[in-house]
Amino acid sequence: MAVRPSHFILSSFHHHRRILFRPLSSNTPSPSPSPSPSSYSSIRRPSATLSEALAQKIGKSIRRPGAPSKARVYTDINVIRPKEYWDYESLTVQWGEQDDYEVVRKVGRGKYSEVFEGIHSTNNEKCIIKILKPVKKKKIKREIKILQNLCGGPNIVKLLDIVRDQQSKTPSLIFEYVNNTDFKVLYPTLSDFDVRYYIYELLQALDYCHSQGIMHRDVKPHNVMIDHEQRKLRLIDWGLAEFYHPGKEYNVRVASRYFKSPELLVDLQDYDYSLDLWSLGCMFAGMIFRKEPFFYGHDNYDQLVKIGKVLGTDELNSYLNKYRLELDPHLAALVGRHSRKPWQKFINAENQHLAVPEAVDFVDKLLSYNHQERPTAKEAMAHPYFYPVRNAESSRTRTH
Amino acid sequence: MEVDTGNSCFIEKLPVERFTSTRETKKPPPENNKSPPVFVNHAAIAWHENRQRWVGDVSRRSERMPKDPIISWSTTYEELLSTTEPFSEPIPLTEMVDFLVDIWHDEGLFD
Repeated sequence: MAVRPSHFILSSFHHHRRILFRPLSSNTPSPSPSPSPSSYSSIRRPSATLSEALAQKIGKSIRRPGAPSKARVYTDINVIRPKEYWDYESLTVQWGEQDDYEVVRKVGRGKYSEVFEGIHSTNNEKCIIKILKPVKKKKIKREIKILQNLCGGPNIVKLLDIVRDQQSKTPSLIFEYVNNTDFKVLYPTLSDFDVRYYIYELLQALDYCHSQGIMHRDVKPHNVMIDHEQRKLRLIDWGLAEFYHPGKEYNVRVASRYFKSPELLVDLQDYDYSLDLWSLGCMFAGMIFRKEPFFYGHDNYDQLVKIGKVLGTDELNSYLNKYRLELDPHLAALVGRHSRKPWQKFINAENQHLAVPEAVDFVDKLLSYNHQERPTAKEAMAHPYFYPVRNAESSRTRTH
Repeated sequence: MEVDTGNSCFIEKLPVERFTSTRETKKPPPENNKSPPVFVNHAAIAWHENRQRWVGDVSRRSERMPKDPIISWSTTYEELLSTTEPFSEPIPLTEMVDFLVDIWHDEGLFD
């Protein structure tokens, strides 16, 4: 039986606050990395005007009935588990003490948050503090509920505390500290074995969250924290993560552009966990071919164009036919016709030590248009590409 | 205690509610002898325990003296947050939230 929240009743005590006067004009931060379509006019590039003119006319794709899609694995997790497990809207949050924390430096910012390195003043321990920008309460509850449900999972970032500003109601999430090296600095230094090792670690996190009925929906290098010295990886930012319910139609406005799967770009809404494997594939392709991002679209339509130029458009069309999808004619025109590009064409002197045959075979499997044909996280972990990692792992457990 | 002997392997996982449920007296469904195990959200339980441990003993929290603000009234977003270099001294989270909320107001995020 659910108990109504008593902590929503706020104490009448408010400590005195400083009033800030700051000139309006100087407060505008740099534009977010993924501008909304409406903001494009201000950053228009001459070369992009034709596709943009076309893009303005593009309507939604049509999906004819009769070809529904369901996850191949972990289909019924949230069917079997009680409502309390996945019904995040009924979560009641017990807010902790905001005054216990201090921020030391900024470490990042996202569309929905500002992120800091912090310290917990009562025990002097380091932590990461994510101050959430104003969004729907529902979204905040979803992130918290998911982090609670995944607590203890391999390579899932640990949520330690949740606090809220009394006056503005701004929530902050307190996470374990990870001494991350920026991926733009770290990735170019990684060896073949390192890439195998970290992708395997990431797959463990993905298989775990999927096994708990949760899709991450925003896998990308920015959301994978690596402490290279400790060889520790954490999958972070569960703000877009969602519970999987078979047959449910989800919002396709998830994931970051370069990591958006074909199903998101063609409006297939009954997608599932397999979208995370596509995003992982994009990230992995970026690592082994040393090309970041691997699919460099300048808007969501162009993203599909960039994918089509590598994976081929005949293959795209058979995917669309399978799920009875029809692209808007303007988008179909933009995509055009391209033959599949052999992976060998991406191999060069700089990446040949990483883009070994098993790696290329693995990326080829991950980057399948048809989400049902992609390996699951579990299947991916069994790929020969990871044999060296698993051998090292089993010899470690034997000797300790 | 009355327990359905058909699923004795799940006994340790049975929460209190199960014993009070009216379903308990019903016969198991005919197609199989086992009713599904009751789901216990061990992760959520562990999370609450971990949080308790992290937050620590609240009664031992020292009285905080009200301090002068660290961020000057004229500080801009860029001045404070354009780098990832450490601040000259730690800033209370409450003060940083105040600072950001003002900026978000100006950006119209609360509209």
